[in-house]
Amino acid sequence: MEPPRTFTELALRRTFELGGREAYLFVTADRDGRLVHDSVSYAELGLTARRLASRLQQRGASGGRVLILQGNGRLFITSFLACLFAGAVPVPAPPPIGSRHSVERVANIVRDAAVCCVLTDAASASAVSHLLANIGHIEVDCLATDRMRLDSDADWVPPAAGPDDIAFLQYTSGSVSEPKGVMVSHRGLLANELTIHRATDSTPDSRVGGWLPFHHDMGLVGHLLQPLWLGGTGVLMPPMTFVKRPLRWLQMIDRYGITIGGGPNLAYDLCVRRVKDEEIGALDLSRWRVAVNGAEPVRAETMEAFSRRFAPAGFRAESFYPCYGLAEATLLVSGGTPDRRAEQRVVDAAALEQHRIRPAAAGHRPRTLTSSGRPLGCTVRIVDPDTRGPLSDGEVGEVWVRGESVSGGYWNRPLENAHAFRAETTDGDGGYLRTGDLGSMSDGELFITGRLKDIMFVAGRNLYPQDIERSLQRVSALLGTSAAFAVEGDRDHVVVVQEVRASREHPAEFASLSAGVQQCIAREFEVAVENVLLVRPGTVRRTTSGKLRRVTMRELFLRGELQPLHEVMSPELRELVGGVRRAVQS
Amino acid sequence: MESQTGRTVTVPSEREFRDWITRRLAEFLQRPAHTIEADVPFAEYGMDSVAALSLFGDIEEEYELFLEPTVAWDHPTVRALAHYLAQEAARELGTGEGAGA
Repeated sequence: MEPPRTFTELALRRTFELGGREAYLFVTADRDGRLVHDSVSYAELGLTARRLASRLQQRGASGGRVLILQGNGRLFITSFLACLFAGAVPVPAPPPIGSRHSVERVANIVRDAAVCCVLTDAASASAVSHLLANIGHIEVDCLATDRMRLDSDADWVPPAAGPDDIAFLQYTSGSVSEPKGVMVSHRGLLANELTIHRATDSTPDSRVGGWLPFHHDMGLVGHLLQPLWLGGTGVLMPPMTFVKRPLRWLQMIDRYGITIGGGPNLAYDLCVRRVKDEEIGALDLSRWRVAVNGAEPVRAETMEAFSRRFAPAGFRAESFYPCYGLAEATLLVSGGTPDRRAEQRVVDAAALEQHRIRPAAAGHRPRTLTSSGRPLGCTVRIVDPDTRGPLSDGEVGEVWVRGESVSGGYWNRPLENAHAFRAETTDGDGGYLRTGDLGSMSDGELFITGRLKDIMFVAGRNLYPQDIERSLQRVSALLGTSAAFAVEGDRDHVVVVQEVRASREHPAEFASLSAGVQQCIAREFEVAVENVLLVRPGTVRRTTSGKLRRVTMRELFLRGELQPLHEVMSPELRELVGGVRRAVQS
Repeated sequence: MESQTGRTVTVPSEREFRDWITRRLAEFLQRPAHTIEADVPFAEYGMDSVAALSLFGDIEEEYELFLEPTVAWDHPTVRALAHYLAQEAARELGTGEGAGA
């Protein structure tokens, strides 16, 4: 039999051929804290998805884009496959609950992707309809899939997608106000699933899964679609169940025999901090062969602490699988070899801040870099981001990626795509994705060292400074321009430099203004900003065209040249900055 | 009164909730408990969504109170949250004490 040309063909085959085999186990905790699960077979999944697909086809969704706002795993995968089976493009996004910015984000995705239909559940349907009405998109259909009576797939027509058609749009990039949907093609998705399979030695008997949300590239491509690609069984848990009690993730790995799966560095950190010693004794993590650490900067200290802490539960340090990837390349770009410890380099932290790799000198603060492995199924080059000149081994530059899994670009952004997805080096090597990440190659291993783009990783989320800066304008009439940026340490520390218009304020009023800044960000983004500098008007630098110079502001801050009127800073950042300033002066 | 897990539970006072929240926060935010004041917004101590959910996970386990994640942002200080929890606990355990206070 011919290999499938599209992910849709592959999913159809799996659901017809594998029948009663368990496709997914959806795990949650009951009120007594015990793990319970709900399972779905391939046959059942296929039938429900085809029935929903036939309804989508009746409503004319074929060829259109369909927004998926599902918090429940079973409803999500059914909706996702129904879109593919209907010949529509699924657009996963987080359900708009809670903060204002999550509602705003969904509204902007509806506009950007010009979706024709939304699939959600009964609990969210009225909020979603309200949102659609508010933004003047009453023509968009809103369907609560758990409330629909789906009785027949007799009218379903198999779709006719080709390998270069879009499989789904991944909106993990861009700010709240300007979301960007990565176009992932069927060819790219199939290629990346093959890469993940080769990288992790996965088989149909592997148990793959975790708790990452499905609107996240690693949650979707790594945890949800890889088991389907394999014809195996996925084991999945809602993110909230994990964050409330990280132990449950490890209990799920133990009880359901998960062999491959992971999360961002933060997840391992939470386990180290929140799982109690007496709970570790009851765990068996010895079957967890590939503990993926990706999606956020990988910290050597976290992996070491986790390995030590969970060794009594049978966790092996060589199970850690640090890797690098991004939605713009579907998911995986580089990774190591299972059962082998990742390479590490101890470098000078202050020099790294200046984008240079130097061995840690005596008296200087060291930082341990962990290898993100070797490029897998793609070509990686390190390039000077300003001159586009190729750099040699050991030099730090922008990470450029070329390969079958690299997306054609963002939905509806041809100008940006030509620059970011089809870049060419000065030596005439073209067709590269500019990742915006900084890194260095050393003996074939990729080390990620920092980033050019403004994105910040806070509390397991991607945060864009422009969203924070925009929100702050509403805090007080006394606040002017602001610049937000991250300083990387053992985690990202967010710093806000905020101009204050008043010149004769009392210290007490400064304190209340900076508290206002912190509370605004906490309320709207649910993240904490511990570092606020109030400065005089004119301090925040802009380019001649009016663009904010966050990188410059960050450098001025690190060199201690900002002279704030008032400042609050966390002790960790104070120590970190002190080290950088001493190194710059010496 | 017997809870589902068979533990004997009494309705904790607002004061107990206040002390307990302060101790948990001190642990999540890695700072001494005496530096956390009851009326200072959580945000100023660096509480983010992960710390809030961690706290709620512990509240579920300790008091069997199941809260919506938005509660931490609607009751953003130790005092406000303790007051809310005392009310909820009274309601949950059916004594009616504190409800509507």
